[in-house]
Amino acid sequence: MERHLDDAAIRALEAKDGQAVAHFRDHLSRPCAQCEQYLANAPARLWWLEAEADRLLHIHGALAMPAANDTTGFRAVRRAMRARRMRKALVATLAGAAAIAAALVIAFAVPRGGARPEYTGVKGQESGLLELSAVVVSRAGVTSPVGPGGRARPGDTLVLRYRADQPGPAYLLKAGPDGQPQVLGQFALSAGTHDLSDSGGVAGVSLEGEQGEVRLWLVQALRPLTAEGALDAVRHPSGATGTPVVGFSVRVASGEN
Amino acid sequence: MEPTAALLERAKHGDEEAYRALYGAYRPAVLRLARSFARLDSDEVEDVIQETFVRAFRALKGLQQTAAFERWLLAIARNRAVTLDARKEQARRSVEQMAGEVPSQAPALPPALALERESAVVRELVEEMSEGPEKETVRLFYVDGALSAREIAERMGVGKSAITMRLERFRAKVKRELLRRVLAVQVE
Repeated sequence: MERHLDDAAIRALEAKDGQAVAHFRDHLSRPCAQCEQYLANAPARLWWLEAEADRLLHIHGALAMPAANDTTGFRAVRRAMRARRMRKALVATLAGAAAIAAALVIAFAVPRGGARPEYTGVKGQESGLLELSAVVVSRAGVTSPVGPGGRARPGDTLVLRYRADQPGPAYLLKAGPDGQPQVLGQFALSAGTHDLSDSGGVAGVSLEGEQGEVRLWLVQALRPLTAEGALDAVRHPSGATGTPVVGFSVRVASGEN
Repeated sequence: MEPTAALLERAKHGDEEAYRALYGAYRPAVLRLARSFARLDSDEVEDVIQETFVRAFRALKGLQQTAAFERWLLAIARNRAVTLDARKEQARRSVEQMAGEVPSQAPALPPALALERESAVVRELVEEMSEGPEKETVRLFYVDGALSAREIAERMGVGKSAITMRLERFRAKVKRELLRRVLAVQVE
């Protein structure tokens, strides 16, 4: 019985099976309704053959046609590209941040010493559980997980997500060029796991122009806390202030480094 | 005209003029491909063109083999056209494997195909066909190239699906011949 193209035959040809190659080299030199029927509905793995057939059929044919001077069509393409880039960046920032809880390493899962005050027996005692994780969002809107000490590129944006067991205000701090913490902003934390956000939406820390280690801290105020108090809490990692502090760092390096 | 490889390099860096030149150079081919789907109306053909270039330009940085750009672009176009065509036909054929996907990379092409640059292949295959409506359809679309599949259907007084099927059957012949050439090189 004559052998025709099917999935098994294609696998044999891809494996360069000598018998199959010899058979089909001869067999395909003549029209064969059965093989052509198979090729007409070729599996996705043969997309290169589809594309080559299209190139042969359409590129050559199109050469006879004048180059398109379709300004309207080109503008529509560019408009659609810009619109999608903006939409993708927004969606990636929001959806990416929303997705990280399940996917990411939690940074500094255990609060620093002193972040959990000793139990005093008082109901409603503050426990100060605070965790921080992150994703980076590239300029192109691509979201990728980053663990503590992980790598990011200049121009990426770091989107933070926290887990807290108590609601309350918090400060976000970042190490300045001199290594000293500086307050970036104030946020209202909710109990549970959430993206770090303010009234403007999900907050992102731009890494534009950064190089080397970028360190961030989240300091939760379980009792009234000034910005200076937040700075103190970061400066005294021993936990002497009794204020929950979590940190997260990434190393920013360009692709060539 | 500036070589495609140079245009692609510039386009990868966001050069507006390079995008424009690539669009101008390859729109006719994408148009031809989209017009081979007789069920697609003119708006849908334009949709195929726009969607193809938007997807290709946005994914351009990931294209490592610039020599494969034409095939890659046409694969995107075909996917889009098949998707629209299938939607229109109530998913007449399954597009699950292809629908909307941009091939991440163009695979290295077998040498025989990389050398295949002659439109004579198409003409020879057309000439081998028996005289009749099928051959006439193929000649009108792939050789003369002035009419869309939809227009051919109107001129010949047959259904759009019939024209699409005739063109697809001819494409299968082309694929058979291309595959044979790949195998011929493997044995030599």
